[in-house]
Amino acid sequence: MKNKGRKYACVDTCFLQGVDGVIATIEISILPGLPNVEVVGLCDSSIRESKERVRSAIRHCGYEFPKGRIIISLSPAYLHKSGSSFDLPMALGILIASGQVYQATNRCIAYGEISLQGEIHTIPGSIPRLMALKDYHEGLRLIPNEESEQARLLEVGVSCVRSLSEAIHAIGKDDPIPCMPPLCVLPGTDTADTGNDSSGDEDISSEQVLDYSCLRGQDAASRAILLSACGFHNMILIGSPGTGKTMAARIIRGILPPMTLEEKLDWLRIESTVSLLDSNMIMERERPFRYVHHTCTASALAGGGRPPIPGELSRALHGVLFLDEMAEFNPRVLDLLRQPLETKEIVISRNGSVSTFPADFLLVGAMNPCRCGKLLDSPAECTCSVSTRRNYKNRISGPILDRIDIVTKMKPMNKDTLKETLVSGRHAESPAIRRRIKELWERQYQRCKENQVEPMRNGEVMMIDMASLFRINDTTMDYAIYAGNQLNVSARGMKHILRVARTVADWDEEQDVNEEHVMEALQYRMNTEEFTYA
Amino acid sequence: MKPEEDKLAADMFVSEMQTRRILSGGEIRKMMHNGRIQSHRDFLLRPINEMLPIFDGLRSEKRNEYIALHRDMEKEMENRLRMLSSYRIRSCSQEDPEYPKCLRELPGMPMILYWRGDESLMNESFYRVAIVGTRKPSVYGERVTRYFTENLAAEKLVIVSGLARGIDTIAHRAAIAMHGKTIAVMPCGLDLIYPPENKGLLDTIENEGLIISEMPPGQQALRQYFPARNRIMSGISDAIAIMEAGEKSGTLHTANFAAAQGKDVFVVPGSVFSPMGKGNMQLIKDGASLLSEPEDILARIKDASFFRKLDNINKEWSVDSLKEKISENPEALSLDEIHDVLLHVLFEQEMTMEEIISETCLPYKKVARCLSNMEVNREIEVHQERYVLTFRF
Repeated sequence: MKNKGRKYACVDTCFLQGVDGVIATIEISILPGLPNVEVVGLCDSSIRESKERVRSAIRHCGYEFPKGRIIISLSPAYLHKSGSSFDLPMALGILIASGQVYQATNRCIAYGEISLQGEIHTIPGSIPRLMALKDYHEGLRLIPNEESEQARLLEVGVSCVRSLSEAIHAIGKDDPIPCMPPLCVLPGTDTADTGNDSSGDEDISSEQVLDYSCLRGQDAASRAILLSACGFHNMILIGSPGTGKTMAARIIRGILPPMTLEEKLDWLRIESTVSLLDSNMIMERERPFRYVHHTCTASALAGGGRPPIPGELSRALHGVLFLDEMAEFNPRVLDLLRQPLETKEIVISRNGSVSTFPADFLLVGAMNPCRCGKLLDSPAECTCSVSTRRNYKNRISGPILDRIDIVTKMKPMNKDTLKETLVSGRHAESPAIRRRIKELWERQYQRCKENQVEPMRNGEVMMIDMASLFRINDTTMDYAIYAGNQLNVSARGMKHILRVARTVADWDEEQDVNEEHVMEALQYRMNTEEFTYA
Repeated sequence: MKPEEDKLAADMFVSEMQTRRILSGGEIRKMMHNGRIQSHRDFLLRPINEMLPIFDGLRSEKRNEYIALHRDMEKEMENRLRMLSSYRIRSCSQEDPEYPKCLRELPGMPMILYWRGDESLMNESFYRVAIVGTRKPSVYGERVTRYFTENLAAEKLVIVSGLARGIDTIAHRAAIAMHGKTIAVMPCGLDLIYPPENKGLLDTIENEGLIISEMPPGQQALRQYFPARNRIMSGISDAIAIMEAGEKSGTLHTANFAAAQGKDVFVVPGSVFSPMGKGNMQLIKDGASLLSEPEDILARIKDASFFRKLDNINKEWSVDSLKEKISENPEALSLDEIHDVLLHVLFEQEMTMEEIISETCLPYKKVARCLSNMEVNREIEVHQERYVLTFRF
C-alpha cells in the first residue's frame, strides 16, 4: 500500500447544507505522539462527540483503535458542519489509515451515524445527500441501509450497509457492485397513466374518513373548496367553532390530484431534512397537509435555526398549509407569509448565511367570525363590541388578504342534514372529484402554454396576463368593473374575482368567462365591512 | 259603421248624457252593477225600446231628454264621426282592458277617456310626473320649470301637464326639446284647441306624446271643468311638481287632488317677497316635499318603481307553479326567473343563503350568482349574513 508508513487516509462524505447535499472530504492522519483525537474544520459539538462513538464501534467490531495523535480534518473547512453522519467515514478513515482495513478502490464516499456496537443509522437529510451522491463518480458509495428505498427512488446506485463490518467488507472488495436493484417506480405515477384507475382510488382509502360528502349541507363552503382545489386558490374559511373548518381543510387535501414524481421528490427533499422518512411517506402520493397551530413561532413557520432548517411553509410544499385560528396568530408571524405567497420561496438569513427554501403551497386559513365565535350563527348572543370585532378581523393584515382569493363562510350543520350524513354513511365522492380536478389542472397548464406563459394554475396568475389568458371578453370585463365599483371592491380584489371567475368557468366547462361566472366569484370576496356591523 | 266607430259613438253619447245631466256616471255604474244594463254603450247601441224601462224609476223628463238626445244623435252621429275622423280620436272606458291602470285604482275617475297619440305612455312601464303652475309665471318660475322639466325628461320620465298658458306650455315645450315624452290633459274635447295659440304645440304632442281628455269631442273648454281636468292630471302621474302658484291658483286644486290620491307633491320654493310664490309657500307649510333638485323626484320615483315591481311579482308569481317548475328542473330556470323568485321570498322576509335555498329548492350555484348580481345592482344588501331588500336603486 502506497500510504503504508505514512498512516494517512482520505474518505469522502456528504453532509446537509440547508436543503442541499455537499460533498466533503475527511482526511485522517495518525501522527506519533500522545494518544489524542483532534477534529478540525468548523465542526460543531455533535461532530466532536462522534470520536467516542467511533472508538467504541471500532473496538466492538474487533479492530484496534490506533494509538497516537489522530488528526481528523474536514474540508471544505469554511463551511459550518454539524450532525452525526460523519461517524462512518471517520471510522473507515481511521481503520484505513492505521492499516487494519484494505481499501480496494482509490476513493469512496460514505456517511451514517454509528452506534457504540457498530450499527449504522441514517439521520435527516437523506434525499439531498443522495442527490449529491448522484454526481459522485469517483468510487464506492456507502449509505445506511435505512436509506435504500430513497436511493431506489432517486435511482442512485449505492451499497447499503447495516453495520461497520459490512462497510469494511464492502470497501475491501475489488470490484464493488452496488448491491441494489437498479431502480423502482414511484407507485401510482406511472400506473395512473396506464389507465389503472383502481390503484388511484385505493390510495385515497386512507383519507376516506374525510370524504367530500361530509360537506353535505354546506352549499357555499363545499363549492368554495372545489374551486379552491381546482384553481389552487388560497382560501379562508370563516365559521363558528365546530362547524367543520378543519375537516373542510382536510377534504381539500383529499381532492387535490396526487403529486407527480417531480413534486414528490421536491417535497421529499425538504421533508427529509427535517424528519426521518419512513416507507409510507415515500410511497404515498398524497400531498402534504401541515396543520399549524396559532402558537407557532416565526422560525417554526418560516424555517430557521443554525443551520437553518425548513419550517412549516416549506414542509407543506405542493400541499396544503392549514392555519387554524388564523386571527389568533401573532400578526408578525402571519406577515411572514407575504413573501412566500408571492414568490413561492422563502429566504432565511442568519449570521451571514442565506438559505432559500421553496414554499409553494395552498394556504387554507380558518378563523372565527369574531372573538366569541357567535357572530355568524346567533348574532344576538355575540358579546363582542364593535371595536373588538374590528380588531379581531384586523389581525389579518391587508397584504395577507391581498393574497387570498376565496373567502367563504361555514354554517353550523343543520340537524336534518346531519342525520342524513350519519345515516347514509360513506359516499366516496372525492375520487371522482380528484380525477376531474386533475384534468382541469392539465387544461390550465395547457392554456398557459398556448399563450406562451409559464404553466401555472388560475390562482397563481398575475394581473398582467389575465385578460388574454383567461379569455375574458369586453362585456364581461365591463360587468366586472361595474360590479367592483358598486360593491367597493379594490383593484387587488378584482384580481381575485377574475381568477376565481376563470376557475368557475373551467369547472363549468366554458371556454370564455361570462358574467355569470363573475357573479359567482363575487360570492367569495372578502367583504371588509361585513364583520364590523353592530 | 266599424266597431271602432261604434265604440266612439256610444262613448260620446254617454258623455253627452252626462254633460246634459240626463244620467250621472254614478247612476250608470249603479245600473251596470245591478245588471240592468250590460254596458254603458247599450244606451246607443241597443234599440231604444229596450232601454226605456231603465228610466222607469226616474223623473219623467230624463226619459224624454234621453229619447230626444237619442233621436238627435242618430241623425247627427254619422256626420260627426266623419268630421272627427281626421282627428284620430279614440275612446276607452273602464270596461275596456286598455283603460289606464293608474286611473282604475283611484276613486272618482271618469268612466270614459278620449285620447289622441301614443296611448302606451299610460302604461305601467312609464313613470309620469305632472309639472304644473300658474298661467302667468315670473321669470324665476319659467326658469325653474325649464330646469326641472329638462332634467326629468332626460331621465325618461313622462311629463304630464295641462297645455294651459304659462308653466304648462313651458313644461311641454321643454320636454319636447329634450326629445322626451309628454302628455297633455285637456279640459275640452280633443277636436278643439285651448288655448288657441298652442295649436302647433298640440300637433307636436300628438305626434310625439299623448293628449287625453274626459270631455267628448265638441265640448268647449269651460272654466268649471278645469279642476276636474286637474284630478286626471294628478291621477295619471306618479308625482306632481308645482313650479309656481299664486295665492288662489288653480294649481292648488291639483295639489289637493294629488294629496288625496296619495301622490307625492313636490313644491319648488319661491321668493318670500314674491306674490307669485305665495301658493308654494302655503303648500310647503302644509307639508309638501321641497323640490330643490331633480334627484328629489328621481329618488322617489325609483322607490315607486321598486314597489311597483314587487307588486307585480307578488301578483304574477304563483308559488305553486314556480315550485313545480323548480322541482322539475331547477337548472332550466333562467337567471331572470330566479331573480323574481328571490325578490319574492326576500320580500316576505330577509333570509340567509341557506334559508333561501331550503325555501326555494334552487341549486346553490344559481342562487349565489343571482344574489351577487342583485347586490351589484343594489337591489339587496347583506346585513348580519341575511339578504335584505334595499329601497334605493
